[in-house]
Amino acid sequence: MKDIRKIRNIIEALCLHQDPDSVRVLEEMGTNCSDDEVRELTARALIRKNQHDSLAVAITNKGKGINDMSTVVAMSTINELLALDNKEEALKILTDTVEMHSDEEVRENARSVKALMALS
Amino acid sequence: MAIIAKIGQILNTPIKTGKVVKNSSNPFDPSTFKGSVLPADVFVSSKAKNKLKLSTFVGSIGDAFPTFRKGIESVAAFGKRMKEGFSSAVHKINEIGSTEISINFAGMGKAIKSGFTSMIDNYSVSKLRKNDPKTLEAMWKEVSGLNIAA
Repeated sequence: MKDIRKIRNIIEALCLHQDPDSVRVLEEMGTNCSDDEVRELTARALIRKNQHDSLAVAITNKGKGINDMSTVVAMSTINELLALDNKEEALKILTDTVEMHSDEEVRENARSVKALMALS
Repeated sequence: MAIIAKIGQILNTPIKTGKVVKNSSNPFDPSTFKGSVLPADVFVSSKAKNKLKLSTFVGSIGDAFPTFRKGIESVAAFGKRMKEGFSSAVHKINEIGSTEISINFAGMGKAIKSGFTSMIDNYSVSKLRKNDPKTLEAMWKEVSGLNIAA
């Protein structure tokens, strides 16, 4: 990794961007990165965007966001979800994931996070 | 008693009179009074002289010592005041030197540095936000190099 500060700023800029293409860039570049720190920053940025597409990337994809193999990345994403001011869209996606997702593990994770969010 | 007798003996010894320079133009010149002391009781008869000298001396002891002590005390108090004043002044100077001036300089330097950095930094969030996602993607690729998983 050459300069994590520059990458962090790029992720932050994409997080603040209104263009829907910013979600695609974050997903392709960030959630597929081999570096845990970059994946964590990206997942948190996707949650902070609080849009349907960005939340869906971090909630419904196996190996990304709350389903990341790294516990640190998964926990950070869950923390970011819990810290949202408006949880409505996130709860809707979690409900849909619990009910309709094909993967059992993803469904279980979504159920746990949904329960946590209901308690918070 | 022995001390008083000794003092009397000292006082009874004749007073030395030095030579007076007659041709001195200045009557207050130190050389004029070289070694000469004028007795206080010049105009008293010689019999009463000793008595007067002793009483003057004893009186002067009683009067002089408290005055002298007071003088010492006042000098000490003055010194103490001066010391306190000086130390407080030094303290104030140090305070000014270590807090106000240094903080101002540090803050000024920091402000200049941050201003200069943001001026030349193309990777600040505020500048990056002005680019479209595709440009940001290209920049990300350039910065991260080989870290993107295939």
